[in-house]
Amino acid sequence: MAIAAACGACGLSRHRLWRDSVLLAANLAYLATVSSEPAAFMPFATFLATGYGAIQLSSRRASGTLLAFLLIGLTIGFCWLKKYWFLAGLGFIPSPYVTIGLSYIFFRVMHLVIDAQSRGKAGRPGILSYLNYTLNFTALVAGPIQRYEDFTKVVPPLDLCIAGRAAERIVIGLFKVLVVAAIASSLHHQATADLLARHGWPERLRFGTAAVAIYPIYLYFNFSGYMDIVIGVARLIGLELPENFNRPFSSVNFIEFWGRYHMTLSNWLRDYVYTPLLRLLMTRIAKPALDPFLATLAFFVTFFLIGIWHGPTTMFVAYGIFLAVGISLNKLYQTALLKLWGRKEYRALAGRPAYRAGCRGLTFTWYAISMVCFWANARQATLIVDALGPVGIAAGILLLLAVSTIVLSLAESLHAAAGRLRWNGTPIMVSRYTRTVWAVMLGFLCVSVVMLTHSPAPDIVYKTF
Amino acid sequence: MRDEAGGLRDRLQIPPPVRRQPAWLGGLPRRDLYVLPLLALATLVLLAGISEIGARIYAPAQEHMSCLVTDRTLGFSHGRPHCVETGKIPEGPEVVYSYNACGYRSTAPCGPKPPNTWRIALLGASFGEGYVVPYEQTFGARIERLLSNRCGRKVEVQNLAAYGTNLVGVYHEMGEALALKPDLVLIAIMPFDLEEGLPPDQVKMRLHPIPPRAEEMHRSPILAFAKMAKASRALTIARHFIFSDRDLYIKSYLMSGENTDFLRFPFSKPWQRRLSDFDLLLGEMATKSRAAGVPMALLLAPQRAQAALLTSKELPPGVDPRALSRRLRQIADSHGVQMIDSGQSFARLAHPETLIYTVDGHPGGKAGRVIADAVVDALVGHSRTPFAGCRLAGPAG
Repeated sequence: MAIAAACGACGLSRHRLWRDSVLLAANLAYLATVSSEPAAFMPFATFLATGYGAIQLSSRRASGTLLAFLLIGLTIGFCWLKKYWFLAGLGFIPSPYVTIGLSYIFFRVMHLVIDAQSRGKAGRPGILSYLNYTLNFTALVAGPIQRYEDFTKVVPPLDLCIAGRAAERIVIGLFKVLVVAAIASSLHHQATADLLARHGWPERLRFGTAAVAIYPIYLYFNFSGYMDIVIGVARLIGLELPENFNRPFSSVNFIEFWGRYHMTLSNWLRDYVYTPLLRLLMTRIAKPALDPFLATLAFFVTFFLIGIWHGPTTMFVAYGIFLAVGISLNKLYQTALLKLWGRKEYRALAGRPAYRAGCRGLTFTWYAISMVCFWANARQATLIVDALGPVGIAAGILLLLAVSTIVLSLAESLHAAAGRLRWNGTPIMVSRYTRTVWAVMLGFLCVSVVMLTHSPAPDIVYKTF
Repeated sequence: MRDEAGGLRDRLQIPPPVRRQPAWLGGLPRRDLYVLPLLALATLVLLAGISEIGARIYAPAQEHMSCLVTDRTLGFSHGRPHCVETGKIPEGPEVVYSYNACGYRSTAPCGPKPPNTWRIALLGASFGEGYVVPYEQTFGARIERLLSNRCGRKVEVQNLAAYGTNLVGVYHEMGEALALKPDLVLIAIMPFDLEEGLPPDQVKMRLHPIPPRAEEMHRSPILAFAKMAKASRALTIARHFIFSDRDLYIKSYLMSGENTDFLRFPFSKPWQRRLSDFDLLLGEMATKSRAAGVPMALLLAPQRAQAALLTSKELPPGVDPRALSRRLRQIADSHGVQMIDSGQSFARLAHPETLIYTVDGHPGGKAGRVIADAVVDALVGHSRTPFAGCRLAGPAG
């Protein structure tokens, strides 16, 4: 209802001030649902105010030292508010406070501070725009991470076609979250419980592999479904959010994977961590022969940061190491093959369907294993390792690799076949009629599932005589 | 005329009139304003139809009520003598229901008790009858086999329980049960029987025939639609899969209203009333049974959510799945009736709720085994039943 009201209010006038005011009201209303305690917002508000102050300072004085000081200060502030384990010695605020969306606000604020340095006054947003940009309720909880200049871009006014596409996007998102992700989550819980409860080795192997394989599927459908919903809703209120996913499990290597998965995060880190770091390393170490290794090092640092950004516990350090090692090995492998065989041979190999299928499976397998840090704490991870044993773990990885290679290849073939279907020369899958049918089907399933899961559980079926 | 007019326009080089699309259409052809909603509607109708047909093929069902006769004035049902019929629920196997000369779901004849035979009269409703369970897998038939094996003597179960009987009906059947000269009267109930089977007016007027009630009418289109939706096979199958998720099932069941309050202690007022009424009925039945010199036992089986909660490591606040059996044990003890709580046997299993049909709610054949084992162990371990000495007679069959 609140979203519908915001959509309606935004449509009343196209005046910038009106739109910004409605958006701010919607953002504050959304935040108000998080906590009824005004004091709980104080740390959150202080971080926002500090960020705004840092942008003002950065835009007024072009100084590398000042910028470094501001960035380090904001990073420490963010880690402290998020209670990162390595800052435990400083002591944390004991009472509960709001941190919703703080991870994404952090990226937005950092981006504004860095860009304000180079753009001066032009890169300094007004207070209303700053608050709307950082608190944008459609992207507050889980992104996407939008650039400020894209946020302020004027988008075409809403018409029936745009509204229809936005509605379609919302329905697809709801289907992903409420149906596919819910089923995957249930299967994952079941597999994890069965893994720890069953005693037979084949069963433990089966449930262990299923638990590892299902979680990334759950997370992808949950996260990308949420993105579909917020992109659709944002479009209805006159905003255009960037895409965050592009069929990531079709990736044939880890580097490509991160160009398709949580794209706005990896793009942000590419622009603000990877590229500056690589530039710095290449400037300091002027040996072109070492460039691929410097790129690998920059990748390692960037993906390690991606890992630890996800959470404040040591499990996310492990996650960061998994990502960093994965991407570094990938880069080193590419470098070695290019050096050994040359570009032409390497391209020929990379184009072979069987090689691509195997690489796709390997990419998924590595990602699925690294995801264990997401769903298991250290104790659970130990229990799982104990339950499977070294042979079980090796067999599980091979099983996961084989199954994911086959399943992802089939999915790719199906996707390609669907794209080839045509009617009067137009691809059937992009026709508005096909899309209407598809969206109605998904909507029907969503409504059915929601109604059923919110209905009373069945009791004894009894017919009164 | 049109050709002439067209020709004139061509000659005068006047361009054909352009129908301007309103901006709000965003380039969408006008016909799509009708085509797309109609397409959506057709999709919905087709999807609903296909789901229903698919569900009916995937999970066929067969009604099977032609053998049952209900005595509306006394509140209980019986089978027609020697009647045989087949039934199936969407979730379960095909089941043959056959009734003996007295209309009981038993293979043993219901005439005078044969010599050297112990007879159990089983009273109850659908659960006692073994609804949706093949005869050999019903707990009644299993008890018969297990006790015969253990006691080295024929034991027969005359199953008077029938679908549609309420607890006031069970009360009225007591005389018929005692006329069979049983060695034990076993009353089988589930919490649902307490919830639905004790209408206050019937309990109050238990010594008189029940006045006939007007048939329920579903004249409202909303109610008619709700009834139709409830009968949908696709919905049943969807509910079966969705509520197979234990956590979701428990959460959803506990939000189902007052009928689930038997899982919460202290009991709500309606449940206190039900338990008080049951206390009254059981007391009077026990008096009759004692007068006839026949021991009596009360068997309680858990409902699906209760079975799941019995094995939950963490219970939701205020929830106590054992509260009902504790209270029923107090009631049974106060009337000298042996209480058999099969819930304790379910609690020893990993996923006991899987033995009870998700949507239908009745225990399946595997649950029959758990219940029969619990009953037999309790009977042979109790000094006041004729089966007390059987525990040494041989292994369980």
